[in-house]
Amino acid sequence: MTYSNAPVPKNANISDDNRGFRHLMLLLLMVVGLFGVGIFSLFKLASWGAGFVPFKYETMLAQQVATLPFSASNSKADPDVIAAQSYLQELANTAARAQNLPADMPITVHLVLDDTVNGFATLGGHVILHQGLLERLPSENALMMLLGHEIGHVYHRHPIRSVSGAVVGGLFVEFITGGSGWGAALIGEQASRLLINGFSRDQERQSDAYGAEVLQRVYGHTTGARQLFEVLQAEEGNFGPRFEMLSTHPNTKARAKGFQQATQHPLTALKVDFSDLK
Amino acid sequence: MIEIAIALLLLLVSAVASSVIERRHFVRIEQEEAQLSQVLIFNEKQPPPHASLVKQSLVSGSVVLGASYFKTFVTAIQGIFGGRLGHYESSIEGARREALIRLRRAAHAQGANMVINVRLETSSISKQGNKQTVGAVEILAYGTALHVPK
Repeated sequence: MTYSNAPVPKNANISDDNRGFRHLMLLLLMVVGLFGVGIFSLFKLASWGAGFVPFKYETMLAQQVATLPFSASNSKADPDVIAAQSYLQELANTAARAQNLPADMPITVHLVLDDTVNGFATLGGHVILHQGLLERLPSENALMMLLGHEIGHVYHRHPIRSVSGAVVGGLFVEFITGGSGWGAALIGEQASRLLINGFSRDQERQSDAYGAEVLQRVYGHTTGARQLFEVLQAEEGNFGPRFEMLSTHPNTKARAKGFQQATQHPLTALKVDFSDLK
Repeated sequence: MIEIAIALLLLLVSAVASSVIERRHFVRIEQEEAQLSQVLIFNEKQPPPHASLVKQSLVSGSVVLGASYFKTFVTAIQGIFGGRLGHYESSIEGARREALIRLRRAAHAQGANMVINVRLETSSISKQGNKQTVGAVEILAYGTALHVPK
């Protein structure tokens, strides 16, 4: 009887096709694809579903989650500020009436006294307008366009759609990554972006159309829209990134283009000088 | 962002390092297997009839293997889809052969030239309770060393 050990065959137990750079790239591609499709579908589904949430729940949510830092400035007893605030609220009410906004969808306008050139709508029908933007508006028509645009966001339920999409998408990320905190960061980022302005381009266009409808119904023409976009365009040139609103909004030139044809109509003067407020 | 950059850098360093280390390991394994080829190993329980049974002893060789960061990462992704974990296969293969080399070396040190009844055992030492810590396994080879006159 003879005994011997055969040499160990090379790589007999190793699957070479499951190693290497190409395999890794293929895996990563599959993961990114699945992840992307998953997050996109959930985001879309949640955004769509959020449109069916009754507005009163959105209001309740706003009370719970939004510590509205801007409300503080309204507590100032300055009569000019109070007058400006009620003027804005009055205009918003006019816009809401003109558009037959549902009664359970109240619009609350907040005036923030600072130089920021921005305005946005957030959960619960809260519209936040910064003095920096208001003092650049040449007419009431432009202001009405701005308000109409923001009310359009509220009417089309954009804030809750964005938040829901972000929360569900973020939870998905958190679920997949096993509580890495990336999902939570995404939710946080989306929530804070919403306070600046985190709506999609389509949503912005929808709100532009809504604002133009408001103008048409209240004043009979849309010249205010053109004026607003002229202001935005000028700001875009002057300040660039400082004008945060533009970062997520559609190209201002393109937006303005839709209103270029409007003939010059008599404009209504602003009843408050926003640059005077302190 | 900085966390992602650090993770990517670690992955790259780990990928390069583990590939170099593994390649060198296999080169050394082949050399040592050739050097120890006079010590034969079998899983047969019975000693050869002409073996000297005056001196028998238990010999063993064990290796603890830890997976690299890169391999763990790739395998975790592969785990989503299933299939053969090629990166782990090569590590385990290297560890198994290393354990057998250590077993042969132990036998050789005792003047034996054959190990019978060789068994291989694997145990995970990476779990503490239910918590997975470092990915590591021990591979233990053991058997009975004999001297068989030629």
